[in-house]
Amino acid sequence: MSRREKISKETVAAIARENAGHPLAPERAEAYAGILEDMLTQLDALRALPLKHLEPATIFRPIEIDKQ
Amino acid sequence: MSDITRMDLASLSQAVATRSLSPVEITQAFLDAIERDNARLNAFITVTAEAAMEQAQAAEQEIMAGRIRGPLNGLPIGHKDLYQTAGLRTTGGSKLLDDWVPDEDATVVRLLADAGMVMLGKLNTHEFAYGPTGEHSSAGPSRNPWDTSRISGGSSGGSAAAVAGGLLPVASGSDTGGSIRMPAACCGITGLKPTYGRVSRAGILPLCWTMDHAGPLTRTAEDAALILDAIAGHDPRDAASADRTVPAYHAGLTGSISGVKIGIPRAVFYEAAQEPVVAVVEEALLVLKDLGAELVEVEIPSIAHSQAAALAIYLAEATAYHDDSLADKADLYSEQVRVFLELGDQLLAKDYIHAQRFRTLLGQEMAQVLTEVDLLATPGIALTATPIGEETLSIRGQEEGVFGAILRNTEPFDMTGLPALVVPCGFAEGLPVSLQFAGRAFDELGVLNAGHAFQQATGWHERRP
Repeated sequence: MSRREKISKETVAAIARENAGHPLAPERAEAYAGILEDMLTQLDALRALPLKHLEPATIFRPIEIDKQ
Repeated sequence: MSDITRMDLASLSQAVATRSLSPVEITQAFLDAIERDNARLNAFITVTAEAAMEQAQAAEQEIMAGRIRGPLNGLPIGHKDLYQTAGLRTTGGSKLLDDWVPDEDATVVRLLADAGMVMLGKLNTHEFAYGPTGEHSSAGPSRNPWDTSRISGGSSGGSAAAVAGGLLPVASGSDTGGSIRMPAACCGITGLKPTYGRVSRAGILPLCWTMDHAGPLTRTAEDAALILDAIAGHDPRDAASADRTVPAYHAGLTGSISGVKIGIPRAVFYEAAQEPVVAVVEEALLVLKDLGAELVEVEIPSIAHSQAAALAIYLAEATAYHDDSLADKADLYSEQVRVFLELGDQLLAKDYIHAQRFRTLLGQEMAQVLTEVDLLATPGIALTATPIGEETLSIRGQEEGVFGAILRNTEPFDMTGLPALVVPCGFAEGLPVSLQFAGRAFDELGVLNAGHAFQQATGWHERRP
């Protein structure tokens, strides 16, 4: 499992602008960095769970002609 | 509240069947209540009084001619403003859809119209259902009839405020993290989230495709059974709709839970709830025991991770759905919803997948527990309704956000898709407290029957603000 670094306001602003196309004002990026850090800390615990042999709850279903 | 507006759906249905009340009288009584109290509760976004009276008159003529469609014929309902209504504005509680008039009805709207129900209007919702308090809507916050300075709960806040406040006997809602059950619990009424796939979501604005459920907010479990009889079933318009046999819910209610094994999962559900709330729920558990149920302590090993996984799923799916609007109309969203949507941009794809894998784990654990017991019983929510605008609270000395606290007990059953029902079970400091039953997949009858048995033995559902 890769190890992440603490999220910064610069990272938030860059992802929002470059990846998502939703530029954020610096003060919003700073506020979000704090919220995100809390959320990602919780998600770190998820990454550490023994999920190796479990498939996601969403699974692909081929579309049958008569059900289109 | 008049005598008519205090009645539950089953009693109104009986009154129509025996001709002691007419659909026009009933509709007029509820429209009068809306006229009198909606400004105080902010439950309705749109009231369709004229169309409602026309529908009521048509129902009355049908009934007088002996053409009775069923037990819901001529009875009033309101729909959460997330449900599409053909030719009638559907806002989703958002400025983005201020003038949107859909061409089609949501499947649930159509089914209930076919059953002869009279629609009185559209109900306030937390913007796009993306919040559990009912505070953030383009129409302003819906208010709790027990104390209008407090939240109704959300996102189906207008639905709960209307039913609890006597503006409607029943309303539709949707439930992604608890959005039927949280407001029902805050307002002291009954709320049913059926199994994922049991009721069509077609024509309901999505929040989160893999967790969205549709269901009713009512005064009683019996009323929820009457509505479920009309709306359950397969719908090819909904990709998640289950093609399974639907039992007769209302006819199947026995009111007996003698010998039923009820699991009590203490961790998270009880141990992280306000102590006065738990004290009231403990009294309710004694009632269940007196009714012959066997109470068994159970453990769900991974339950503590449920909220983190749910958050990852909301953030990913809701942001994907709103991506186009967020790009060029971000300022039309309320601040809270926009923040959540923008945070979704930051989530890694692998965390979303981990969260979906976690759902498999949690589902397996719950399924295992439900081989040992028939039902689970928990506090509906961990707290009583908080003041509008309050963002944090303290539970057992621990400061936390209202959003996280209120979602804690309902969300695991959206994560697992299992049916869950909340019923009022008492009061703490003058505010309603609720008991939640959850059951095996597609065993809505089991949870409804437990709620019905509890309500046959208690009078909490008869209390009115």
